[in-house]
Amino acid sequence: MNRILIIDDSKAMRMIVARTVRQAGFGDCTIVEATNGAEGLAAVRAQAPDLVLCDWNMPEMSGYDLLEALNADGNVPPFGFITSEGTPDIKIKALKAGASFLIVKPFTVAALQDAVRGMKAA
Amino acid sequence: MDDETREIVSSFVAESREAIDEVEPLLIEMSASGEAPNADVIARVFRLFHSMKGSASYLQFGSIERITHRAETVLVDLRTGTAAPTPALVEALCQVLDAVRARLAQVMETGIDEDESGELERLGFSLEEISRRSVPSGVESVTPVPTVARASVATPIVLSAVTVATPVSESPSAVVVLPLVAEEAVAAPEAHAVAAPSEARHADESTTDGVSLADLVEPFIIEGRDLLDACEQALLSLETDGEASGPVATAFRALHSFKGNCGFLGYVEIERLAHAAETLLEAVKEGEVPRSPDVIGALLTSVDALRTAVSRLPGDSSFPEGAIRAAALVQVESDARGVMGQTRIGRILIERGDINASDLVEALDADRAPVGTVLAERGLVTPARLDAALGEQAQRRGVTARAEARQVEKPQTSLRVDVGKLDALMDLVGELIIAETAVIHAPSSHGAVSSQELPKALAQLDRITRSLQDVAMSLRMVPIDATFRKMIRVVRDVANKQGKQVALRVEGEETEVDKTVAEIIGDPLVHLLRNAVDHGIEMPEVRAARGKPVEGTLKLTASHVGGEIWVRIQDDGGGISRTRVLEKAVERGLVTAAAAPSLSDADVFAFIFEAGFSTAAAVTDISGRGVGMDVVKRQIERVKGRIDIASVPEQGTTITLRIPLTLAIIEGMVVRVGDTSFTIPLLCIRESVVPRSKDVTHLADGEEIVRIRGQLLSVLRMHRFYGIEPLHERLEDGILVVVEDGGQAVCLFVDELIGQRQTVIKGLSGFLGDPRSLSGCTVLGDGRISLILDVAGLIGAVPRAA
Amino acid sequence: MEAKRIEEEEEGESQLAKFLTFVLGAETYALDIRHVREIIGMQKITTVPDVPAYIKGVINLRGKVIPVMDVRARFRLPLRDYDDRTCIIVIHVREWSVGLVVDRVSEVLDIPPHQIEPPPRVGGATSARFLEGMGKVGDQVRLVLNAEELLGAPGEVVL
Repeated sequence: MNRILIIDDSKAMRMIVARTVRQAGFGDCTIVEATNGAEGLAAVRAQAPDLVLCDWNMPEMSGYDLLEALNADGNVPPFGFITSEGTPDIKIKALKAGASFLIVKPFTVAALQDAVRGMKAA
Repeated sequence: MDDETREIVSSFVAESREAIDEVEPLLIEMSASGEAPNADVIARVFRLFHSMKGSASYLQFGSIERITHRAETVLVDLRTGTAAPTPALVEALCQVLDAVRARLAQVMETGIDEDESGELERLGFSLEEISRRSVPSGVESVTPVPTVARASVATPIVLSAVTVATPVSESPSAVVVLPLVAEEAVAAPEAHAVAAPSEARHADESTTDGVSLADLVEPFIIEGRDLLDACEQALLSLETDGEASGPVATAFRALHSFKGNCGFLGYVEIERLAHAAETLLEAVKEGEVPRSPDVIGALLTSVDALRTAVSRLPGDSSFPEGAIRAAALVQVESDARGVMGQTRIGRILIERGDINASDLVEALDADRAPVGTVLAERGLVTPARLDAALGEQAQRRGVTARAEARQVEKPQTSLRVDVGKLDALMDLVGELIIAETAVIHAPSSHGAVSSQELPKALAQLDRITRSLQDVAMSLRMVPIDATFRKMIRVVRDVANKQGKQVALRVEGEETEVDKTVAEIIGDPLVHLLRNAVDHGIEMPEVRAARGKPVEGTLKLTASHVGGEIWVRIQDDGGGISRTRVLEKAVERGLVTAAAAPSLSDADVFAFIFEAGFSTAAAVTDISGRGVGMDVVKRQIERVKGRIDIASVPEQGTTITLRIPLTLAIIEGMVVRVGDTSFTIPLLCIRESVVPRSKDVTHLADGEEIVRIRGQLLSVLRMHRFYGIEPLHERLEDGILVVVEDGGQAVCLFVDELIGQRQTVIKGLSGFLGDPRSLSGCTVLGDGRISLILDVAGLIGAVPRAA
Repeated sequence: MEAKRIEEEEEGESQLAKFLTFVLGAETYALDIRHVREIIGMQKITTVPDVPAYIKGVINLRGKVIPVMDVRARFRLPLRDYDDRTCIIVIHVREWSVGLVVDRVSEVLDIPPHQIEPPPRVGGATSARFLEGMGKVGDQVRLVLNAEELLGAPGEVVL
């Protein structure tokens, strides 16, 4: 795992995610950030991250729309949602759109590790 | 709190504050406009609460998390049209924003989110209540039709992550664990057809949007019980063999999974207890907390409580009484060893072994009185022990407070800067380095051979340093927008309170001012605006009777004029009565009745700034007893500004704040009068002349008039004005500096012109009071101090030329 | 005269009884050392117009512009020429830094609270209103000053 892209419109949240990523053992990866779906899309296209951690609700382009756009591109990197939206319908939507996992906040080290492990297993 | 967390808290607070400031006026405008709710605004407000909730949760700011969660729910209702943005609801949201703001300030300072008064909780409930009642007309309280795309029947959704096949107990996390069941017949949501929409979203109830939840609850209950059993087993084995490491990890994993599932299903209360227990368990796992019977007991109690809660599902997910106690117990245990709350007396007492955790819970449960007092009353701790612990608390508090004060960043010391400005700065620094090199290496003049290199290089260096200065100063400039925005709320609140209708129009908010100015004029502006609404704008009936529109207008504008920022507050209210002000002034002995008529309006209105002056017939609680205006004046003077008042009876009042553009640096002409050095702001100087005696006319009363290029100007002898021993007595021997301000000009008679300087302005200590017509001082290159003239003030002091 | 700097210490028991004493004419006065920032030699004072007569003007202290009060003038004592022992005691009270011109600085000593008696009620000298009390040191008396009263309010003219 070399490059991880974190997308969230809240700077505080991005810091939190980055920190958790480091604590989860991915400290030597490059962490790239984007503040909304549109920026995230550009970042994926430009930087080909190994993993995308994305919020659901964002201005400009939501996480879901981003994923759809990536699908249209035909280029979907390993993609996980980190969001407070834990309702079943959201989860269904996310997974159908091709997300590898959806972690409900609070976003913990263990949750991330499991998700990544699960991703690799599949 | 470690540095990183502190940084995160800092970002969180700064970001949240900014968002609140941006969103608040939009909310108010939306409710005022009475048109269809603006989807964009609602989306923004939703995102505000949503983001805050996420970070607050991570940072364990419980009450912030809870209220933003509730507010978020309300916003969703607004979004789906289930609730309407009635004035009452917007008001409630504004109150929530206020309370959150206050909590953010507290959190910034102490790092802890303590809702001791329960205010946030109350506001949250109140908000929900109002939301429930804010139903758009014509729409019945009905469960929203789930707009979720239904999976096609019978197609299992395969996850690349954890799937059904994985034994549940080995897949701990808040990741999607439960199988996503293809939706066939969705359980008809009759059960909640009666429930009001927002209730349907309450996380601690067992229903959500009615999408196959019943299918998910069952597995949750089964798995939950399994997990809790596993956890309990592990904990029990710990009790017997405290050293084993296996059981701790098992217990932790089980609890962790359980917690994740709760989150998934939205059982917030249960999740919270699970989280508290998990935190404690983690501390045990990490060796931070001993595996004492107390601790294990607390954990077991919480597992019991969780089990009980689970057993009540799916119908009732309320928390049994004992469970709350268990939660408190666990919390206390956690707290007692926690990073935050280091100075709580409860923790100190536990650490000193004076009490144990359940004593503390009991005391906390009982009363609102200080915990220590309750403990002592109940004989759970001796007074002597309590005192000793209090002493330790004071000590720790002192250390903590000081440490925190040193470390906690106050958001005001950071600044958002336009990237373009920074780029310009970087470029200039680069050029500076090059120019410096040129100076160092330039061949200098030796003897007869003069070289152009050095002067050229120096000129270049000078040019660059000036530009650098400009850019650096401009970094401190921020649009006055942020300050103005806050006023919208102020005006609205005051107008509402008084039953008046006022519209605030803002112009020139993009005008940039020095950061300090933006901060300092906030308070005076608030006061002036409040005054304008309170005393200026009349009640609707009065306005109607006067043929004015019922809604009063307040205009707040900012603009650059000359070297100053002008902030104007204009109202179309009743104006200020010159007679009333004069009456009051005479009453207070500020002026004699005889002198009164000869005073200009501006002079009369200036009396308003005298301390304790108020012509208001009734003192309202809003503007106070007129103690405000003199404070306002002082505050404006702090930023070297001045206030002018103009008013027309029955038509309105205009208050103008004039603040110098740059606080820091002045381009001035240094002059000498006797032994004293003065600096005259270059912007105010028209020209300097050596007068010829034939151009000077002496009036009978000693006043001197000079004719300069056809214009007749008064002469102000600086030495006489300031009581200095001059070098020259005759005008022809010295220099006349013609200065002007606001269209008026006067000649200052000085001994000598020293030269033009660009220097840093320093304030003259407030201790000196208010020397007339001096706006500060500056230190010259040779260390001498030069007094900076306030030209406007000087001109005001000169009798007008006939 | 060299500049002496009094280190800023945190408020604590040890600070409570220390005073800096200085001389004006025949009397020795004492100032709570918590207020004292520096002692410097005389330097050029720039006159500032429109201030009470006892405010001599301002000085440039390492870039900071500080007002200076002639304490003799403040106490209505006859003025005397400045000599090479005259110095300026820079004090900080509330939010102001002010320099005090005194004849000469004496020493720092401890005067415990019980050694300080209330000032005489019947005011002979004008200076009585600036007194915190009379401090007994051995067989001598030091007039303990109230720094806040000494400075007074900004722009206030003492009649």
